[in-house]
Amino acid sequence: MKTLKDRFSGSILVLITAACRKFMYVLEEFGLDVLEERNVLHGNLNVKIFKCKI
Amino acid sequence: MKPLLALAMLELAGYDYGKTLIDLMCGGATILIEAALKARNIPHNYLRRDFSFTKINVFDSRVFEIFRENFLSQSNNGVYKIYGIEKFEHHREGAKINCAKAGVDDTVFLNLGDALDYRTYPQESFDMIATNPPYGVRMAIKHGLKNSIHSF
Ligand SMILES: C[S@@+](CC[C@H](N)C(=O)[O-])C[C@H]1O[C@@H](n2cnc3c(N)ncnc32)[C@H](O)[C@@H]1O
Repeated sequence: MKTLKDRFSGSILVLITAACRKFMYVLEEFGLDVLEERNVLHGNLNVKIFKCKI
Repeated sequence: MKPLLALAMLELAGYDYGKTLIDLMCGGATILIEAALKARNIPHNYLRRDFSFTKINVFDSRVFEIFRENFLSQSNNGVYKIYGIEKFEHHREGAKINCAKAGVDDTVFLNLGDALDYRTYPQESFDMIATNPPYGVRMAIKHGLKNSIHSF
């Protein structure tokens, strides 16, 4: 996340992940907000698509 | 990753042809291919012929072809700033093949690099990053998918 913040400040990030809670925790740690999120069943996995502003 | 899911990510992001886009862990380049098709105004799934509805009685292949040609006539072959980074050469090779099959290898630029090292990124500024990091469901237990999310 530090890499992203240093290199892409101001950009939009969309990311799909199964590690939702960890991702939210990391966003919080770096002071980034979730603009939108969607739950998706990806095969047998419950995943989320997150949209954030870096 | 299913192409429709990649398209959903791009729709959520608000991607359009004027935006610069990068996938930092591009794998087979599904997200980038969908972005290129969207930028070129080419309908999603345009190469597919085996739709279930083609098997129903009322299906008229001539009408289907007219609609298909009509949609495709509105497409363009512009070159857009759509970039991918992949850590492994064999995945990048696969991505190149996929892009060529989809007819977008002239607008998707694939670099070998490491998402965790921005010195390997292209020298561009990007409006959007769309990515699908490895799930590593089995590996997660052993090596910690969560830690990789943190480093990323
Ligand atoms: C889940 S796959 C992406 C699949 C892709 N969205 C698709 O549908 O084709 C994740 C990819 O990230 C690549 N990868 C893993 N770690 C990476 C890193 N640090 N930098 C760049 N690529 C990485 C893997 O080699 C793999 O191809």
